[in-house]
Amino acid sequence: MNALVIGASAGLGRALASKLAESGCSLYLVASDGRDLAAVAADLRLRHDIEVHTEVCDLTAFDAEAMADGVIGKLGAVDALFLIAGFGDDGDDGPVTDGLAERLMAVNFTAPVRIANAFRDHLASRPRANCVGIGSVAAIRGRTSNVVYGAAKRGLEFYFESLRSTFSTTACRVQFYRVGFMRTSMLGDRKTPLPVADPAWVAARIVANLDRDLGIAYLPGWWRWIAIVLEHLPWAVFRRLANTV
Amino acid sequence: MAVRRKFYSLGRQEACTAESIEPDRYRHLLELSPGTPHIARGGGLSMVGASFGEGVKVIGMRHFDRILAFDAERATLEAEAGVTLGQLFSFLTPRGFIVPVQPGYPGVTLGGSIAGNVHGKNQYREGVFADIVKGLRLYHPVHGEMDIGPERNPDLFELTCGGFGLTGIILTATIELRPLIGTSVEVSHIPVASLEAAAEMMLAERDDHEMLYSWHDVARYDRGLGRGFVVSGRIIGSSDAKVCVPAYRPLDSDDRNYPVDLMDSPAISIFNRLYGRRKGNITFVNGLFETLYPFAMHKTYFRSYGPKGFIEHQVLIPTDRIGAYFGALVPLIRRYRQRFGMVSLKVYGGRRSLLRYSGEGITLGLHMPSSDKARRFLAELDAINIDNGAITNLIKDPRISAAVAEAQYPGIREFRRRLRAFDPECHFNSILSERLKL
Repeated sequence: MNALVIGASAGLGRALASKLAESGCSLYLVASDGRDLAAVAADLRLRHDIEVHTEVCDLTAFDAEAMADGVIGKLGAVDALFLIAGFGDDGDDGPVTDGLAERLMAVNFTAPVRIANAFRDHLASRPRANCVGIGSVAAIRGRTSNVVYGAAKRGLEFYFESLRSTFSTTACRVQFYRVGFMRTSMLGDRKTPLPVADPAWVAARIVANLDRDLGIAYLPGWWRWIAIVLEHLPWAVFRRLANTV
Repeated sequence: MAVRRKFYSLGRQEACTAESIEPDRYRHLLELSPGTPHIARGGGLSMVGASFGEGVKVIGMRHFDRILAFDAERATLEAEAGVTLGQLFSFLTPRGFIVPVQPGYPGVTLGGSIAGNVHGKNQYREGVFADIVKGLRLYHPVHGEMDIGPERNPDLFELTCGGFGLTGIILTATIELRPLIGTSVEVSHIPVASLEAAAEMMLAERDDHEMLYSWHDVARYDRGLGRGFVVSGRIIGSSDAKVCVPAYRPLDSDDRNYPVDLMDSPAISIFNRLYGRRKGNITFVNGLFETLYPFAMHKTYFRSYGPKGFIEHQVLIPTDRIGAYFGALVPLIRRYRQRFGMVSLKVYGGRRSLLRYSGEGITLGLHMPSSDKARRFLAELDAINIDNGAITNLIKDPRISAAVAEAQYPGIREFRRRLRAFDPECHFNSILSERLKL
């Protein structure tokens, strides 16, 4: 399988690249941090003896069609597209600056939409394909933090739902994961009210689920019960929790 | 984002609360907060507070664990400093190589091995970790990134290997490898009647074995004190055979010890007698992983010292002082009736410089339950060490003061001078460097 991972230099993207490499996939890895990307690629080539291409890309300013042409040109074909890149900021807690709002929307919504769009016809033509997007439990309900981030992820989830409908007549499986607290630099060492998942575990679940017609799912799965409770909490109760969950 | 948390040394003798970050990208790693001292932390398995300190920002290196280059013809490997020796073992053994110098636990990182200048199972033959480092990339906020090695900025390289992380953050290193000649180890236990007898045997056979150390029963105060066996190891089998890496539970300095100290009890005497009798005169075949990393399979050993933890004291006794040293040590043990969880000897070689734990002689390793009595015992042992020209491993014993270190390491003054010249503003600091006034 040939896989494209957007956001592969760290966190879940790096863990996913590693898991895919273990299964012998050829990889095309995209990230904004060139030095980390080169290190990830070198490590995966050496450990797994696989083909790995890399591209340094700023998701706030790039040509999606050119990216698609380049990736397909190097890999020959893309069987799986993983849109993992995400960006959060402590300043996303109310009055967000224009620049920050643009960047949050660009990385978390616009870029994955543009990339999925650029690969749409290619994935639809494959005998077997996957398109995987990453959302967040931060988008379950609006709070006072991760405001624009949550809005972008909610929008991305809607897009993936539509994408699943679009691809329903093809062999391309579309999956979208609402991921819970995960031990990455975005979370840091902050204490959380609920357990934190290891990116390697999340990546393993994603790879294990590739053949399943999942649609939208939570990782870890128990977050669905938390979501149901949060979604139905009366406003008077939820507003008191808004800063903690 | 920095978080404040409690750090412990592995023996739980040094601890403090400090800010901690775990960057997962170089652009985060290389932007150190101005005006705040930092220290890098690998596996965090040091017996002393070498990777944390009061008012020091701890930089966790675990995300920088990638292998960057491997040259089978030249037998070299380049990797980031956060890679563990266990990860390198898993990568190298199927490819027919091994890292020549292996401390006893797979969770020790490449950077930590360099900063602590660790040793393996036969230091006399293998040397110390610095001896296999061909070069490394060091980052310092003022000097930037520097490629240093035995022939590139050798003074800074000498300061960094065994420099306890005080010259900067080791980013990557290139190390020499050794061809893997087999995947099992034939281990022989040869009984010895005393510490001195073991030392004599090991000095005589030091060139003949890939692994050579000893085990002693010192939880007895009669004529049998020091009985035990010399352990010799020879790698056997085919390098083509698959090396098994058994499942093991990772060691973590944050783990809580058992609520009771099992080591400072009469039970240890009974255990030692039984262990010595059962294991005293045998030859068996052991897996390579289990032999190189004996503590991987015995995580409970460290937890058995109870809430007060343990102190490791490792001392290098010059060859010509062995008789006199043990002549002073044994009565001291008897007088205190001090108990030990582990007593072991290894043969050493090499040259001394700066703070390097190196030189011709026998190294004695002691693990003892931490207590006021143990500290009084060790204070008297410090005097015996100084009287006999012995040096204590500074990366092991958390009680060693600057005064004792100065009496044992003439090179400490030169180390301080060169470190201050390189880093006058002291950008890197730790409990260890504060205690030793480095």
